[in-house]
Amino acid sequence: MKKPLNISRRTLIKATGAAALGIIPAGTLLVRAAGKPHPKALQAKSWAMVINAKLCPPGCRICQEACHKAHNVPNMPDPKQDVKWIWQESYNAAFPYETHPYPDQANEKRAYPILCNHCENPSCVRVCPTQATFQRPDGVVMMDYHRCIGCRFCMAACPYGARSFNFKDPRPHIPSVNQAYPTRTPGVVEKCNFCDERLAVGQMPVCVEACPTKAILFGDLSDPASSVRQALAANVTLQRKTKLGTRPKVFYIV
Amino acid sequence: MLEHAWNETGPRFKAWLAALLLLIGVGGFCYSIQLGTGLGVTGMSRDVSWGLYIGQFTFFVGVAASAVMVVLPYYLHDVKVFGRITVVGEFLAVTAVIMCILFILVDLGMPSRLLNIMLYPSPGSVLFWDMVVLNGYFFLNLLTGWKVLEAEYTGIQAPDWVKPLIYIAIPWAFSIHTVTAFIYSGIPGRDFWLTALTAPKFLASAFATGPALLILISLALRRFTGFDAGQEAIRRLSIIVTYAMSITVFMIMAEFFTAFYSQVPSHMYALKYFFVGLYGGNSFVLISWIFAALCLLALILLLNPKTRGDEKWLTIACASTFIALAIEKGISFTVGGFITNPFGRVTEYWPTPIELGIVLGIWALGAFLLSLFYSLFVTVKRRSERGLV
Amino acid sequence: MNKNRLVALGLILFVLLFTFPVLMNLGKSVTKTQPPSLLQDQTAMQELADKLGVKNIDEFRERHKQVLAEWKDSVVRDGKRIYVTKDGREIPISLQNLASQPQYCNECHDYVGIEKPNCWTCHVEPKGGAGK
Repeated sequence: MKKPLNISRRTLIKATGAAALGIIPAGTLLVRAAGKPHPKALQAKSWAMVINAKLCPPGCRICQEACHKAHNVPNMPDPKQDVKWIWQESYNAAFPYETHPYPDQANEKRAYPILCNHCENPSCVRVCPTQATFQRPDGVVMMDYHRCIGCRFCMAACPYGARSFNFKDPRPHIPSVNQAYPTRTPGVVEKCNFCDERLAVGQMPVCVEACPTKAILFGDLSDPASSVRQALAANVTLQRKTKLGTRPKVFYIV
Repeated sequence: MLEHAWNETGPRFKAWLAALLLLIGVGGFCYSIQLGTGLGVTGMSRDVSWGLYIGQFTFFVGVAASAVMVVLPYYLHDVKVFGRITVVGEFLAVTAVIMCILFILVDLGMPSRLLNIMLYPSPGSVLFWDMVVLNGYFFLNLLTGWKVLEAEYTGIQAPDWVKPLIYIAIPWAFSIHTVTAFIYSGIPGRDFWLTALTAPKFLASAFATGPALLILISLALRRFTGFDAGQEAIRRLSIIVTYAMSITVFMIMAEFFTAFYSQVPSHMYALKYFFVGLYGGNSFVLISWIFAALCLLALILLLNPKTRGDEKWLTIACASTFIALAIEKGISFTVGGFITNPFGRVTEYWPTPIELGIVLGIWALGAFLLSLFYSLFVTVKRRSERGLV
Repeated sequence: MNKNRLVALGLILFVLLFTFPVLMNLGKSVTKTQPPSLLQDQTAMQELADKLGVKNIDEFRERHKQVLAEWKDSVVRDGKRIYVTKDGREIPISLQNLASQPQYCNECHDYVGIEKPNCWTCHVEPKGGAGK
């Protein structure tokens, strides 16, 4: 025989409240699916990039074009609201704290590829209120476009101007959509992902492969034998805004 | 008590509410355009990624926090003259917090995902804590304000649990503005924001803005409803405004000293941009000088006891204080952090008509709620003073 | 003011507001008592379940949204692009492959009266899709 439920209003409200509190953080406890990396996936303890700017021919935009095509990065009509993953800046713009009025002539003409630094101590990750941007164990600073609420705190927190916001629908402004990669929805922030989608299936980043002068090296910073470590050992290199303590993982040979 | 409040209002009040509703509608219409197209309809850009919305949010967190300037003296220092207006302050806080939440909401690119902040709590994010403290502050003030007013209406003392909540609300008020300041002052690479002075400066300017607004509200209530906060309460408030405004201006001057005596370029950029323009960008020069002039005017009128004691001059002083700090915190401070951009260039920002329409709508909503709250408050006061309880 | 009249007005408004979705759909559902023929094709539906990595159509119906969320987290947050099902099968995570014919998603969502999936505003819709 069933007993009649004997719950006072107060108890019911309490129970409902408790249940609601239980549900709220449940999102974070969501059980992760059993998953496996692709057999060919490239793995590293700490991905890093070395860009030999000496090898960047003035006016060259091949890395930018290849990256933006591969990742469906739009050409927004208003440059103030444009979306960029990798692009070129002058030495003075890239290294504003390391300039003086009498630069060498070669450097003055050079264009430096600028992209997300995938910092070891990323301020964007620290400020994100939903962990939509986060740091993976291999050091890649990722964006979860399904979770981003578009508050743009990360854009304020990024000292490198590497983040773009989708102010309007990007789809109409993508010259030819790459079927293999998603576009973005208006209202989320995006940036370079160190070609996570390519690393996952055993390929090097697009910019590395596209560069005709092999100016971009990509490898494991924790492995002394890697191409990036060898390049760092053999050259004078700079990082952008080291005084901020973000510890970037993109190095420039100047 | 609600029914009496409504029935005792006149046609003029109802017309005022209708006008506000119209403005709220304008705001809603503008927001629907923004929802459809995205934040591209605003003046914001990849370089100035926060603008008027976040500025207004910051400003109204200050207004919300400033309620503590009547609550604290009354409950901790037994300043009896504030007894009549603590509820006025608490309702101002409630309204300001609602406006803050709306300013955040309209600033989001993905408002439908707002609850992700609670679904994926991120204790490392200041914005997460801001959400926590703002919500807490909202409920504390709504509960205490309501209970105190209800006690007056029924003539029965407010329940015992109200007092501790009032005491909790006092440090809580400081926390909301501190956390809001930390959103800015903990970011590397934005040298205009990256100063430990941000939080104290926010608090000081809030404690000038809020009491100045309370004085203006009290004078308006006396004129339109006959409710008198009392000469002494207004005099005491005006002293608070004087101190807080002096401290605010002092702190702003201190920023100038650090920037220009040290000659560190990144600390001078924003200040130069505001007052003389930088690299061809000068859209903030006019409002910055208006800000400076209003600060000076307010200080002269407030520091002189004769003008401070005169209601006409005091009104001008309070309005100047409020407008000056609404310019500084309501837009300039936010934009200043983005001067220059990470590449040493200046990108200009100015709100678009749609952005202004949305902000106007939220202001109207604030005024609407405040009008309802205060008509309720005045009715209850009137009835209790007539012995109708 | 007459309180009863106010109360009655309030009640009517409340009922109207809360039955709004039902009222809006009055007369529309009659034509849809039968699932669309597409969804009655058991083999096609089972194929869909296999691609998602669930046992059968029932589990597909119940859990597809959750599995899709797991897929997203696995790829984006863990960098794991192969989904391992409960019975040990390994499925390459691919929305394109799963919904190679998005009209299944659209027809079913339409049939049960909920919004069409918004996957294709970002993920490129496979060829032969039914459009947004």
